[in-house]
Order: sequence, then C-alpha cells, then structure tokens
Amino acid sequence: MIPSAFRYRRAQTVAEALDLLRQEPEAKLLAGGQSLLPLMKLRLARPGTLVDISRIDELRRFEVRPDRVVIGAMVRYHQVLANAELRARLPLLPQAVAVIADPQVRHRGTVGGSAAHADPASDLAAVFLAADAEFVLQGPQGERRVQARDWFLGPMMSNLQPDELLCRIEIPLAWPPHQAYLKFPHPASGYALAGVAALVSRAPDGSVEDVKVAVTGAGQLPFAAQGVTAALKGQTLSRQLMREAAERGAADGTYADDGPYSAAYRQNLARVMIERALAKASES
Amino acid sequence: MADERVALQLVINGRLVRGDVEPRTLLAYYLRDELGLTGTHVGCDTSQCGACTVLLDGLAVKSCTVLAVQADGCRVTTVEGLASGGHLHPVQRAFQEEHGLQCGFCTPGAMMLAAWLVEQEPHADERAIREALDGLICRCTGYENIVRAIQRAQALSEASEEPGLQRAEGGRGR
Amino acid sequence: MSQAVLGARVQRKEDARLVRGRGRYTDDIRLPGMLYAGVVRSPYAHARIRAIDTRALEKLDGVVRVYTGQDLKGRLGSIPTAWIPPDSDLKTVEHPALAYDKVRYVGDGVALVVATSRGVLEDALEAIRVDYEPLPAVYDQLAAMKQGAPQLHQDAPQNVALHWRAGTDTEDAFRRADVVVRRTFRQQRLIPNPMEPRCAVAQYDEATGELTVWATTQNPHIHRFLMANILGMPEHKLRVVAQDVGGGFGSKIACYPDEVLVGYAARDLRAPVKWTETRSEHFLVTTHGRDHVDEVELAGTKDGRILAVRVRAYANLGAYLSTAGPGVPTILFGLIVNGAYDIEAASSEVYGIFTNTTPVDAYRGAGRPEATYLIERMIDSYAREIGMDPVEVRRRNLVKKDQFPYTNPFGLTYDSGDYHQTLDLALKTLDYDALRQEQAALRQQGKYLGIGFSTYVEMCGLGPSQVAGAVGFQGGLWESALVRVHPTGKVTVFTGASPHGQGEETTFAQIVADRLGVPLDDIEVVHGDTDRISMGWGTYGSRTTAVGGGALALAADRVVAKAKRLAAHMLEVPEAAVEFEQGRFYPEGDRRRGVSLQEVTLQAYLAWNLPSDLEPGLEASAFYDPTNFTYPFGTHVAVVSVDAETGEVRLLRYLAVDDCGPVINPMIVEGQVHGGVVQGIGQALFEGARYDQDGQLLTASFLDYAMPKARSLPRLETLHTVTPSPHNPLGVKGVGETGTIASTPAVVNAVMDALSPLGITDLPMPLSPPVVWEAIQAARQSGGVS
Repeated sequence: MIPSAFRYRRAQTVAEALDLLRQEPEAKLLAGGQSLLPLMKLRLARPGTLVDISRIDELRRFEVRPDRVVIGAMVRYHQVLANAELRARLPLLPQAVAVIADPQVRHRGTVGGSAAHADPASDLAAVFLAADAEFVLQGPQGERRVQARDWFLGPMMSNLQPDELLCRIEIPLAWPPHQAYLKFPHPASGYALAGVAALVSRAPDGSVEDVKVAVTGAGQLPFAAQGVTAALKGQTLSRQLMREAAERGAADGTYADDGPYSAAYRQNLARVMIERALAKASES
Repeated sequence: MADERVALQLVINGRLVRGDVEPRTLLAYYLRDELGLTGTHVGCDTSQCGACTVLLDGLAVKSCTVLAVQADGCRVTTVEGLASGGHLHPVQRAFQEEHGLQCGFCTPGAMMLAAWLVEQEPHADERAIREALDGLICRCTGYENIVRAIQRAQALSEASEEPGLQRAEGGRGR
Repeated sequence: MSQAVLGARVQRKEDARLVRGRGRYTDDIRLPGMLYAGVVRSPYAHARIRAIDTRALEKLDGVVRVYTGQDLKGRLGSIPTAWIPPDSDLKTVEHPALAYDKVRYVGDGVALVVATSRGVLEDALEAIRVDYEPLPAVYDQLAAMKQGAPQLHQDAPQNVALHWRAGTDTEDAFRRADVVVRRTFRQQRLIPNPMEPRCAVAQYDEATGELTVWATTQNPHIHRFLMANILGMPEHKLRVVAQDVGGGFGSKIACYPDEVLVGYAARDLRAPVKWTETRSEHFLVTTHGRDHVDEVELAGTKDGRILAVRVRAYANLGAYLSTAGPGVPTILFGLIVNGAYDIEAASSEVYGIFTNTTPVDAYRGAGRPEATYLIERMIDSYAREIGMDPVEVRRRNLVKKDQFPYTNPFGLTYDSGDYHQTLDLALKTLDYDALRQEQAALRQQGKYLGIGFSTYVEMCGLGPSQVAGAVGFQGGLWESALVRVHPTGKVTVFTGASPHGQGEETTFAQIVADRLGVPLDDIEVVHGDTDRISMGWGTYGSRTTAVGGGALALAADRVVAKAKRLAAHMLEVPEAAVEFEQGRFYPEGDRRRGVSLQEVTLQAYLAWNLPSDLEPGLEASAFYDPTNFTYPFGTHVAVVSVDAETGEVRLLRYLAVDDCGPVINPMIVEGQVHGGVVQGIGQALFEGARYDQDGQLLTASFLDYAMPKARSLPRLETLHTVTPSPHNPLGVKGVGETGTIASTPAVVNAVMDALSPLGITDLPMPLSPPVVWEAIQAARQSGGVS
C-alpha cells in the first residue's frame, strides 16, 4: 500500500515549519510518522504536503528540571526510556512509554506526535491527564499553553489548531515516585483496552495525601478518574477501599459497545485496572 | 505534484547510496524495488507484522512505515548487511542452529529485531524477549524457536570479542 | 553415514539462503518492462454491477490497461472446484475470474488494472468508479438456508451447495444409551495469514507461445492443470513456478482468479505483469478456513463407554466453491468424527452452504481440526455428565494397541498406533495427580486453574489415488520423484511435492543421503517448477514426507539397484554377491575390494564397458501411490489459569506428545509441532473472523484480527513416541497438521475445566477476555457457583 502523492518539505526551524503550514496546500506535519504513515498508506489521510519537523533541534530538547520535565515534541519514545533521571523522578512516564506498541515503533514514534494525534487509546494520554501535563504550542499568534484536561477534545482530535505546532510538553514533578502505569492491551492492535496511570502521595502517617488516576482506551475519551481521588484522599489504603475507589473512578468514564467489547466489559476493565494500578503505585 | 522527486543520500550496508525518489516512496520499497535488496519483506499494510524491519542508525524500525526521504542522511542495515566478511552474524547463526525459521518470510525482520535486541539488551530474559517480539508476527514457528534463537544469539555474542552489530555496521555502531 | 543422517538434527539446507536474505520469493522477481496489476474489488457483499466508469484514468500517466468482467466474459473459463464429493448433489456454480453481472462477497473482483508502477496502480484502483445496486446479503450459513434468504446462485436453491452423509445406523445405540449428551459447537471462521501475501508474476514468450507464471502456490502442477483450462491454452505451453513460498497453511492450494488474470494480462499485453496481494486484500480474498456449525450427539453408558456419536454439520463454503472447498467439510471431516475412539456406531451429515462471504477452503488441518474439536469436546462433556475424570473416559474408549489395523464406522482403516502410550507419557510428564491437587487447592482460594486434554488421531499423507477417485477429488494423490546422479557423483533430486517452509529440501536430502550413502552437501532438492518436474500433486494434507518421501525412497532404491548391476560387472562378481553399504559396493564378505557409488556412476556415464543389457546413465524415477492414508496420533495437554476479573486466559503449560512414526529430522518435526500448536491455540483463544449484518468483514487487518503473539504463549514442551506406519517405505506419518488438530480442543477443554466450578459447560471460540468474563458474570448472577 502506497500513499497518494504529496510534496515533502523538511523544516529546520519552528518558524519555517509554521510558514510552510500556512503556505502549502493541505499541509500536515510529519513527526515520527508511526500513526500518520499507516493512515496515508490506507489512504485514510491524504495530505498535499508533508512538513517534516523531526529534525528541528528546538523540538528535540529533553530536560529534567528540578520542578518539571520538559519534553520536546520530537523526542522519540526510546529516548524517554533511556533517561535515567526520568526513571527516578517520573517513573510513570517511562512505564507507559515502555508498553507503547513495539520496539520498532518506539524507535520512531515521538511524544509530541502521539499527543497531536490524540488517539483515545494512546498510553500517553493517561499519563498526560494524571500528571497534569501542559502543552506548549506555537502559532501565528505566538505561544499558547494548554492544560492536559483541555487537550483531548474528541477521538483523534486535540486542541491543536491546523496552523499551530506543538513544541513541547511540560510535566510538573509534583509527585513522589509512587507511580504506576498498567495496561490491558487489545490482543491484535496492542492499543490499550484499558490503560491506567496512577500517582499516589502518602502523608507521614501513611494515609493518602493525594492521589490521581487517569484512564485511557476503555472510555470513549481518555479521562481523569476523579472518583478515585474523592474516595481515597485522607484515607488509609486498604484492599476494600481501593476496590471501592476503582469502582467510583471507573464510573467517571463514558463507555460504548465496540465489537466484542461491550460497554459493561470496558467499564469493568477500567475498574480492575484502576484497582491494580493503585495497588502497584502504592506498593512502589 | 506526483512527479516531484527528492534527492537523498544514505549509507546502506556500509555503502554510500545517492538517489532521488518520489516523496511517497516507502523505505521498504526503495530497498526492494530501487536497490534490489529484496531480503526486506513486506508482510502487511498496517505496520503490525515487522517483516520489513531494518536498522536505521542502529535502531530496529519498520521500513514500511518510514519514508525513504525520512532516512536521508542515515545509516540503514538490512538483512543483506548483517553478515560481514563472509561471517554470519551471531543472530543468523543462532536462527539457523535453533531452527528459528521455517518459511523464511518474516525471518529478515525477525533477525533485524533480534540483532537490535541482542545488542541493546544482551541479557534480556525470556519474558523481555517475548515482549520485544511484540514487533513481529510469525505464522510458522509459534515463536518458540525464535525465542531460543535469540537466547543462543545472546550467548554467541557474549562469547565473541566483537559485538555483532557494530561489526555488521562497519564499526560505526552507536 | 546412514545412522548419522536419518533421524539426525541436521541444520536446514534452505536456511543458508534464507538467513542471508537471499530467498527468492515471487514478489522479489523484477523483469525488464514489468507492469503492475491490481484488482478493483467490490465493497458490497452482494450487489449488481450497473456500470464501471474508468474515465478518471485518462488523467493518470502510466495506466496501461483496464479489463472489466464484461471484457473477459467468454475469454476466460470459470474458476472450477477440484473436489466433487460423490452423492452430495454438489452445485458447481459458475465462478468468473472477474464478476460481470453480480458480486457475491466483499472483495469479489470487478476489474483488473495494469499500470507502470505500484504507486500509479494504487492511484488508478482508487480512481475507478463502479456503480452498484446493492442486494440483500447473508453471511451466516444457518440464515442462508432459511426460506426467503437472499439467493447467491440461481442453480443452488436455498443456497445449499451440497448435502452429504456417511456412517452407520446409530438409532439402536442411542436407544440403549444411559446418557445422551447434545451440544452445538461453532467452529469460527479463520483467516490463514501466511506471512507472505500471495503474488503472481507472468511472462509471455511470443517466440515460443509459452506463458510462465511464477506464483505463490503449494501445488504448481495443479495450478497448471487448472489454469491451462481456464486460460484456454495447451498445458505444455504453460509453466508454473513456485520459488520460495512464504507459508501457505492451505491458503495457497486454491486456484484463484488473480493468478489467472495476471497470466491473461501478460499474454494479452505481451509484457511481464506482477500482482502482489496486500495484506488487506488477503483478509478479503484469500480463502478462509473452518466456519462450521456442528450439532453433535453422543450416546454412552453410565460407566464411561461411548456407544455412538452423530453429527450434523452446516459448513459455510463462502460465495463460490474453492478448489478443495467441498472436500474439506465432507471427506476430511465427516469420515473421522469418532476420533481416536473405538465407537461402534457413528454418522455424519453435512450441508455445504453458499453465503456472501470469502470462499472457504483448506486451512491447516482442513476438516480434521473440526472433527477432532467436536469429539474431544464431547468426551469432556460426557465425562462431566457421568462424573468421571476425562482422562479415564479417554482411557476406556481409545482404540487399543491390539486393535490395529482398526476400521472405524466410516470405513477408514487406522494403520497403527499405541494411543494409550502417549496418554501415559503425558500424564507421567505432567505429574497429573499433583496437578489435580494443585487445582483443588487453588479453587479453595477462588482461583481458576484448568487442565485440558486432547487425545487425537489424524488421517493424513493424502493418497492413494484410488481413494482420491472414490471420494471425488479431481486429481491423483500419488507423488513423483526423480533421483539423478551426475557423472561426478553429485545428486539432484526432483520432487513433485512443493514444500513452502516445511524444510523438505533438507529432510528429502536426508532420505536420499541415507539410501545412496552420499554426503548431504552433494544433494540438491528441486521442487516447484512444472518445467523441471514431470508431474506432482504438491504439499498439503501432511502428505509430503509420507508420499513424496516414499516416492523418493523408491527412486533412490532403483538407482542403487542399477548401480549394483554395474558394480557387480566392475567387481567381476555375480550381482547377488554384491553388498552395498554407506555408498560403497563390495563383493560379499570382502571389505578389501570395493567401488564407490561415485566410481560406478562415472562408469555408467562413460559407458565404455557396461553389461550388455544395461543402459548408460544413472537416474531413476518413481511414481509412488501409497496403499492407505497414515494416521499420526498423540496426546496434548494444556494447563491454563483464568483471571475471573478480566476474563483473560493464561496458558501456563503446553505439552505435546505426538507419534508421527520414525522421525527423519527431530529439529524440523519439533518446529512443525510448535507452529501447529500455536495456530490451534490461535483458534482457541485469539482468532476469529467477524462479519457485520451487511457482510462487511470487521476483522480485516492485523489491527482487529488477533494473531498469536510471543508474549501470550508459554514454552512449548514436545515429546514423541514412535509407531511406524506399515503403509509407506519410510514408515512415516506426517506431522504438519497434528499440532493444529490437537491443540484447539486441549485449550478449550482446559478453560472449561477451569470454569467448571461456575457451572459453565461451553463457550464459543475464540475464548477472548470479554467472552469469558461475560460468561462468568452470567454464571454468578444465575447462582451457578458451586
């Protein structure tokens, strides 16, 4: 399968990329291409011009600062996995990245590409939501910042406008390393049927100071399972309590039947995986 | 638009290659149709099967999901470049010795993925090997002997002085 | 030499090229001036073609030619079936290479486009507009048989393609039974998915009038036989070549429209033409497998003795009859539904039904997995019904060692076996009693562990030809071999079998090396080319080693026999006094004097001094027709755990004990078992084609159709017993399909065993997490927890 014909432009700077986006007819940005190229091969996407932004240095910066992680949009998944400091400070992220697709995809795919593609079963979506990621965009009007909760507008629809470019993602380092990402993959595609990101912080007495959980794949859109926070904040963790919290958290999603996976099954899977992610995070 | 061609230059199996392509040319087809490197196979059209796996700057990638123009300026190693100086790569030897292939169609991709894994994670255990094989669909072997072959390749690589991949890439390994 | 080579773990000769990326697959062929062909396919499951508009192609550079169904009507024959089961009232409906009035499944071809590049071809396929009048469609075989269902073919009322029966009277046994167990099983539709998609390249030579078609086929001579007729050209002017073929699993047996179209276009355009299937096309147009609804009844006594089994099967054949399509659910299924058990009465009744779906044909095991599934599942259901360990039920009913040759109720004669031995070996290896204790302990903790058995028998080694004729297979089932010793003593072997991943370039060389006493490296095995091999029937039905290998052994023996006469002449002793051992001829009892086969060969070619009645040269051929099928057997065991919260089934252990007779290369046999087992596991747990109400295939890519992956599988344990078959020179039985036949019921039995405390008795395959979870929910709600 071969894509329909297009023009190829390689941008060296963000400004150049934005110019090309404006000038070229039906232009689309090309990052790692691991989602876009398959769509183009099946001719479900047919851009007139591909603007390759993967070699723009500014977009490849990757820093772990004292208060936040700054991930350039063109940082590839395997680079996230290779960062030792990140593993210590925000283990949730490499845990999620490690189960994205397969090694070959992780060598090409980019964090920004995934965010822009906004697949409702993307593993990173749960991480972005749970860890309050902030998306930094550049457009004709300059810089714009979007919070994760405002990012996923619909399936395959992010807050990114056609004339904008996602430059980087900033994730606050606000949580202790009691973190876990757990995934129940679709047996064929490997996408998350339910992927759960969980962050837990404990008070000195062992009770839950704060907790955040987000779920991807199971619902129609990735969602923050706020019911979990409500159920657990200030409480002392127990099996029973985590079970109840998971039940409430899963209820925050909207589910639909999809082939053999009924809405009831999906909600159940969200509940089970929330419970297991909570257990894993709190034990870590 | 259809007749636009883009120049590119890359090092394939240690040799400098210059050419020009239609932008829509996938790396897999560039290798197969333009360069005659037919060892790289195309087994699906949704980027699932991994038969087309090659090394791009030392990393396993699916060449059906990389545009040839994206590989401009990069080093590409295909199955034809795995052996060097008449010596089979440890992965090639291991696949042969452990019967890690039957019809041979997914094998080039399986071996390129294995070559990367053996280099990157020389001590990957069986669980990790099976997880890395997420990037491969094999219909013949039930994966059993592919797993055994990768384990043998780990042992062979450890026993040999030179890391296999660097040798295969003409000493320019990462 | 002989001890060393036969039965040795010899590395595969084919690997030398395959691990270097030097395999020669059909799509690797590039010919000067080669054009690319593609097929415009129906997006509707059932529709009338109103018009085809190709005007948009005028704007596209590089489109060479478009053929529509109307263009080819009358120029190409119908794509035929090659299996007409007797007394089945088979409706051999027309199957045009390109539909010209009606399309009957999603993927049915309506036009062929030929272009100068892959890219332009795909642009062109997209640009053609076809105006369809959609018709009501039916994808389910039971629905298709109902009054008022959409009709696919005028000549097949109620969409019934065939109705076939076999077996004995069972009424008496059912009257005498203490227990009658009834079940309906659905054998879901599977998609073969060899990793190499199909491909064909055709080239026409104007000077000679010869057409060469390189194709991904398991049986090039059958393709030539059928294609010569369809294309209306003399068979000797058509050459079909299968180079390296990347797996088939039955899906490369059939003669398809696409290969025929490529041949037609190459001849018509006087240019080489290539067609390469995309994976998306494969899902839609390459034959599917299985798809039965089986109503089964078993009659038994309270103490575990099975008296009778009867089956009524509804087999979905798809929109047209594929090459072997009608034979799979009848002959290859209906004659062996008693499995490995000594059951006095058994009967099968089969309906083959047309539906608006992809044609169904052989898929690894072909009919025998369906038969084995139903009897193995019935054994477990019956065991549960009478409260007996399923192992004990098996033990009481398996055909006993002293009953061979055993004739089953359908008249098949099982050749040889010791079925109980494989069962005992499996139990001992597993430590069955300990495993049952562990299961009981886990159940106390609310955990679900299951143990499942499958004690299977398979009929394979397809042959002899007399039987082929009796069961309506429109071909022979013998095999040919030619062994040619060259003047220097090197050997070329030509076989009519057509291996495509099974490793016979190696095992066949081992057979010849053993017989001739020459080194393996001196032997080359040639297959897959109708110009180089006089005739052959190909590779399927686990027949290659038993039948093709048998032919080879005979041919090699004939070479030795002739060489022996010359050796006697050279040694100046009577022929009866010549001994042959490890490649040398000796006078009886005298090891000091002797001549090697190589020396004898040279003299055979020089022919300076031959016995007066001996012709020069040294080669021999054999056309070997076996006297019966072979019947490999064994015991497979799966151990699973079920995660009740997610419904996920985990395979903890898988043990295969197989008996395929003497093993020529244990490494290769193990590999066949591994691959087969995993394909069967795929059916049990992961795979299944799903259609929507309009006949659209919902599982049309690897994103939706779950192939088994490495992470979902345990280490596979394999063991063997050896019971030779008396029916072929090598005693071998075939092992290509045993794993697939055995493993599906073993896994499903294990899951049902795990879920038995919940009162769950049967679930439809694949046992995917939602299927299992929903069953558990339902069982808990209905208070089925015991």
